[in-house]
Amino acid sequence: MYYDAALKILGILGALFLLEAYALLVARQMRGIINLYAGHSALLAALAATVGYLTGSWYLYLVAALTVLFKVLAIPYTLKRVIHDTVLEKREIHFVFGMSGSLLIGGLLSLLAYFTSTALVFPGDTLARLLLPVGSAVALVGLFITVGRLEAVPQISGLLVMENGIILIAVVTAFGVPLIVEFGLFFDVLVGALLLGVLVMRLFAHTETTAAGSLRRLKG
Amino acid sequence: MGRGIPRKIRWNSFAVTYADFPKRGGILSSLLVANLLQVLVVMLFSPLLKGVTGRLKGVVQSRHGPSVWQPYFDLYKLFRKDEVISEDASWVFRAAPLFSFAVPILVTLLIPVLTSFPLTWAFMGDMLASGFILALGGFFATLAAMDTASPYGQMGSSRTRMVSFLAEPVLMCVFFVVSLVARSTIPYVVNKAWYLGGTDVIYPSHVLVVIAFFMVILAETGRLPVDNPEGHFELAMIDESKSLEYSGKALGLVKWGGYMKLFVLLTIFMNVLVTPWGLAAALTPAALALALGALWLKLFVGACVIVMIESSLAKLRLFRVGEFLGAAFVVSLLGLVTFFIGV
Repeated sequence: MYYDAALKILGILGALFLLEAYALLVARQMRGIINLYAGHSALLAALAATVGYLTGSWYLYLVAALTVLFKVLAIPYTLKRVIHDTVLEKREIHFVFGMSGSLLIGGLLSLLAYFTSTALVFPGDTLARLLLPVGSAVALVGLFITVGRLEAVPQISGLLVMENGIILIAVVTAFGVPLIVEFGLFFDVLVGALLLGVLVMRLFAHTETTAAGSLRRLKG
Repeated sequence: MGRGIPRKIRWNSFAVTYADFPKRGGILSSLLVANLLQVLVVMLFSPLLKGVTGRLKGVVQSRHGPSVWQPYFDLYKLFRKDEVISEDASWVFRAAPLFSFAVPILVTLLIPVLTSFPLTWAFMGDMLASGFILALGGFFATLAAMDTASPYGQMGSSRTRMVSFLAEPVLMCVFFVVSLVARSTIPYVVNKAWYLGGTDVIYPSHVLVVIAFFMVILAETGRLPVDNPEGHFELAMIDESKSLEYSGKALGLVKWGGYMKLFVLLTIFMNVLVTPWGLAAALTPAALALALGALWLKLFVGACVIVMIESSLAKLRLFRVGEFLGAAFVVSLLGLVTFFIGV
């Protein structure tokens, strides 16, 4: 009975996880994007904890705790500290494919993810059938965020979202990776986010814009 | 851990036989009375919903806000006043308020407001029909706005059409998902299916569909991210400008129709999709009173959510309405896809 309830919760959390990736795809406010990413990571932590409860691997609770520590708290804090308010106050108006176009392409990507990843699932593996498509759809949408947005901060968020999706895939298929790798991964992402934040500020100092997508034109 | 998620709920066949219906004072007549009672409830309480929303909004914005009875006072005032109608206006202009008043009542006949078992006209039409009947009211309001050749009316009505066109596919998609799960689009049957399914029916696709439908309700009733219900600046109005040319009793009818539309849509949302519990199972006064209380509780929750959204969001620019409803469409489409994948 608990098993069914936990699966149900996983389904709903998975739907919200995917939905929030879409919200990140079209969010305009830079600060809002960082907050949305924190929410996205909180959902990932909840998913990992529920999978841990479901499969009885205590180990995933640790993954959830690390996710909260690094991705819900540390990375958004770092990004907000490193990137100045002048950049964070901005809004992105122009997308490469427009907002509706981006949403439609995102929808098609999730269709692609569903059809390809359900073929990969071992028959009878309910958990993977439920969440593997979600994980790969989020990873694809994250990739698309880095392609379809021009500003630097959303592009960073795209990388981070893609990483969240991949972590979810790891959680549902292999129930996480060894602890040392996990730690390395989290520090990697944290330092990566820090570096990207610094690079955004360098870009801003040089060109007075953070529209990384139009750098080719700015080169002159 | 062999058991998977049931792909579809085991749906007990919902064969409606007259033996199931309570036998008090003749089968047909008691159902008929209950059906008309639902209409009466919608007519009487819809201004109160508007009043409660207005008052709640005042409280959230830390002012006193108008009384919850204010819409009733408004209607009373309007129904006592004289009308002014342009000489050049045709019958369409006179008929449109009646349409916008009658249309929500027609829909009320089809949906579960108080009872969980189908009433006399329950099988006259399904949820798609409800959507199209509501669209009929919008159609006549648009015609009437063009009839007087007032520029603001035409502008507003063309904008309303735009919002409705964009909302239509979302509504269809939502109803398709609902009908896939419940194997029917009759609101009573859907309600019963969710009710019998218990927590089994809370799927990812259900969550997504609920979100999409709520976005459509906000757009269709002229609520904030799409349209400001309190705005009276002619150039920015969407929904209000249709009634710009009306006065007196006709304006009262239009306004009352608008209140009822919000009430009916929110009732469908709550009773059919979100909380199918708390409806009367028998035609006794006590059960009906309890159902009315439960309905108010649900609508109050809905009003609180609407007020929260209205107090925290700004109105979208007109050309971003398409993006808002496009997002709703993608959400409902995801609901459809996740249903078929069997998540």
